[in-house]
Amino acid sequence: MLLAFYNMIKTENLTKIFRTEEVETSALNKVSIHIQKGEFVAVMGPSGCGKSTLLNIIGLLDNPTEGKYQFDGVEVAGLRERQRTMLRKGNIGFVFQSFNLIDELNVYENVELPLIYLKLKVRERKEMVGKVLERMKIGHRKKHFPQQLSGGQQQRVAIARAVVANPKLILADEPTGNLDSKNGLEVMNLLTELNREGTTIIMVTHSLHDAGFAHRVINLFDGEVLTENVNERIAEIL
Amino acid sequence: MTWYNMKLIARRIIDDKVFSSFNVIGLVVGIVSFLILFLYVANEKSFDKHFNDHEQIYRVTSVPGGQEETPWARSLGMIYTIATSIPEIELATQFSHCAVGTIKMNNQSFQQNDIMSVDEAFIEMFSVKAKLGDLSEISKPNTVFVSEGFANKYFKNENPVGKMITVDALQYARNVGDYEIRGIVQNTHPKTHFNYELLLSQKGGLQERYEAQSNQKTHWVYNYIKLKKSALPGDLEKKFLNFFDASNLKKTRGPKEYQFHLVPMDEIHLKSNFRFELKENSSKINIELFIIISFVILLLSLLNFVNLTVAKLIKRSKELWLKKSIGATHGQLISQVLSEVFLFCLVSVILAFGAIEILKPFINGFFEIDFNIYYSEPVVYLSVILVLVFCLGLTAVFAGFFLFEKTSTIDILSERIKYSGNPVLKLLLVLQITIVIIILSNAFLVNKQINFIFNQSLGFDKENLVVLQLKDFSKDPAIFASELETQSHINSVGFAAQHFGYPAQGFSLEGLGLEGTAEFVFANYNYLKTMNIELVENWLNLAADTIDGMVINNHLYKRLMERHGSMEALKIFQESQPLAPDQTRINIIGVTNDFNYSSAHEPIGEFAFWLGESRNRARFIHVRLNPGNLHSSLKRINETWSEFYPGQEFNFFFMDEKIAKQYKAETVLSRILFTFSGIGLLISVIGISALSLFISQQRTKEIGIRKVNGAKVHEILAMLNKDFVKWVAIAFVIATPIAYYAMNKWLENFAYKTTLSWWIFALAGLLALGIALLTVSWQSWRAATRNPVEALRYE
Repeated sequence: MLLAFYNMIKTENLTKIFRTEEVETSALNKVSIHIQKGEFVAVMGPSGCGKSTLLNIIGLLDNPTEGKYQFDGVEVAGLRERQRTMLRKGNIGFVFQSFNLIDELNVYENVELPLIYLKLKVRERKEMVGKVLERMKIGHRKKHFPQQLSGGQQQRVAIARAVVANPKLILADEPTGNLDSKNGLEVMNLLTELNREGTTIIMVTHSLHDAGFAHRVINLFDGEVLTENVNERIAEIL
Repeated sequence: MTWYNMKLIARRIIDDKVFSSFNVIGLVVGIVSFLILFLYVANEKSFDKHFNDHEQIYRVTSVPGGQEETPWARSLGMIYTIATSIPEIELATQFSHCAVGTIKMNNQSFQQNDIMSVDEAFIEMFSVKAKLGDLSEISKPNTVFVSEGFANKYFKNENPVGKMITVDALQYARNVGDYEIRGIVQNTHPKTHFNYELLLSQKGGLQERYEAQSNQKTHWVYNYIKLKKSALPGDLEKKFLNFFDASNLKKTRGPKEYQFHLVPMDEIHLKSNFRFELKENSSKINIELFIIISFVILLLSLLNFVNLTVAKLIKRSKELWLKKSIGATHGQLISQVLSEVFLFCLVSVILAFGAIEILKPFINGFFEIDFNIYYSEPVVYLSVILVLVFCLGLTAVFAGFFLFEKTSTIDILSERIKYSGNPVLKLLLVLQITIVIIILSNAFLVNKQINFIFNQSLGFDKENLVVLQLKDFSKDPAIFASELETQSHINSVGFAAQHFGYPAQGFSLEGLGLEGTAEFVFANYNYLKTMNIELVENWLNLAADTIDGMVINNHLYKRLMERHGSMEALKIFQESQPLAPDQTRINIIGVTNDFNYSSAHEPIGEFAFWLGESRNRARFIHVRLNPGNLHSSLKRINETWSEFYPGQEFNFFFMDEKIAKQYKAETVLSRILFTFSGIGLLISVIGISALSLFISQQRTKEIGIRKVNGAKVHEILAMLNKDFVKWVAIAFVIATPIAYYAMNKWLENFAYKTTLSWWIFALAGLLALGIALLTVSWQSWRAATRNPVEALRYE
């Protein structure tokens, strides 16, 4: 378990302040967290506690106002948009509650999209997309468009898209929020499986059940880390 | 990547047919309107540019003192003598033009348009090309060259050279003589400010008249000169004046003061306001307005396009943010957006060109204009570039500055917040409505002004009045007239040497103690009756055998009274004036209501009818018909004509139609303004409609919640309409002062102007509001009547 001691994500006093004309809201207040490579971490907390802001920053979609952030050993706080995009590409995959598939693209094309931005050749893309679709058990649906699929299938496509480029980190924002319990369980099993294969996963969730799949739960409240609990059931297994 | 985007765009267009077609149609309509108007203007501006050294050619006009307001295109015939003494003049020509003359061939007499009598310098200056014959023969006596059109009409495949044409009557000359056809010339280039069918030699039959020109103060000929490149027109005008002041002409009878102007030929077609202009010319005011309208319509459609594009972008902003999360750079996203805009523009341009080709014949017919599209014209490709730059540029600015500024990507993708981008949409919409209100109010004003001019009292009754043109002066027209007057369908018959709309002759007011000149027309007494011209003062002695004297208009009468106080004082003044042997004293026998004989565009000037019963003043027989069947009345007149003037063509026109022709420029302008404000409205309806669709889609959830909580349909409608009312109000406030200023400027062009009523603005604003509300309600109705449960589930 040597890998477990390698910090994939390391933040120090991460602060994010949103300013509007009238008020200044601090969405994150001196958040310091460490996430090791291969970890599965759940982030919990009430609405407005700063979960999404944290995800935005960790996912390199936004810069913090203050503080340090090392991603995979590289200092990224203060990087420019372009540099963040380069780093994000192929390294981070996103999964959302509302799937966010592009309606005008079919299953195959939706999954292929990140590989196109990585400028891979057609043959390579075909191979990688084919593999991941088989793995997600939706290969037979590759010509279908999102609106022709069930919610569970749509989320599997979204996960396929998130993992097709073999990212080191998957950020999942309430991945089961729009699914029934059967499909939700299926998604959680998929994420667990990916994690077992070495992918680091950070998942925002309201569901204690889903959080139960994680190694560790970080509780946020008013932009601050309230508690960090190691999930005992999982720890035992480890 | 490109292929990927293309696929995406194509599928999206198919998926969202309504929005896509709104977008394309708006732009197509805008481009088509712009190109039609602009190319028409470009066409009008290209007149006379085909002549060699056209920028060195000038028309010389000589304007007698007092006639500055109504200058003539014709001038004193002194150009040959002047040209020899001014070295800057490279070439000088003097010619006459007869709009309608009478000629005879093979004993057949008929009317012929556009007869010009010219010299060799004319041939050289206006690059006249011979199809047949040697053009130097134009300097031989009694030769004539005919146009291709004339040759084809009368000689078909026959060679006309050697055939004879008898010129019976030109404008002021009768029995000019026999002319031998010496060749055929190419037709006049259609974009020329004059047109010729016959080119007569000035030698022979017309020689005497031309030779007398340099000693007479008659304005009968047109003078043109070609200057050396280095010459300054301003200096030459002074030299002309000096020459005139030093010449014998200064001392002869007639006006003593003259102004000489050099009018660049390039400007004649667009700017001429001369009487006796050679050909119907364009209206400068119209041309300027067309340019403005064309750009406004284009701007409107471009704004509309960008507005809809922005709305569409907002609608699918999630997709863009998603791509960003997957690894697309801003550059890639913007280029994706722009390639889509580019594709739309390209499709619109292609459709626009297609539409222009199809619409061409209709446009020319409806607007009575001569429009053609030449793809090599810079304006065509420049406008395509403008469209692309505008659409791509504004979209890029929006995408760059507004769309990606929002940073909480996760929140948007998780649908926790929604991006509406409203300020940009609002601004663009308000701009559009502002433009529409400006166009609308201007269209109302132009219409009001045209009605005002049309309904202005002319001083006579133009209805049921038919005018016959007399060519045979050997018989006494009074016999023909009395024959007509016996017919029951005819009310009365009168004679005049001119008709309304045709420039009148002038006389000096010196003998009456006033400065300047007055216009006058020879007529007989019955003419006043036939025209229903009312007399405010009547000193006629109807018991006398013949009525001889002047009936002046009220305007002149008032001036005379200001100067002399009474008619008696005027008589005493007249008696004290010396009289040349060939002059007669003016005998004023009546005063008419004010009216203007030449054109209602001009202010009323001094005017008189010189009444007399001499037969030679009967060039136009005016016949007032009793109301009823015009067709059968005309047939009867024609029969009488044939009995009286056997073998002569029966030429006539109706006075009201002739007058309507004078307002062609205004009528065309009014039609164009109304059509294009209609188009402007259409584009805005498209824009407002698409936007309200967009907004109601954005607010589906809100509408659902409100309905669940008890809101009625009309309350939802009111809520959705409220914003649009606000925007129209803002637009109205911006538009009114701009429209007011523009209208005031336009009205300055008219001698008689209508008032700028407040209702013009109110109506334009209300119309814009009405259209916005109707469009919005139509879209919101569907949103408001949807099942709320469905709406919420959908969200």
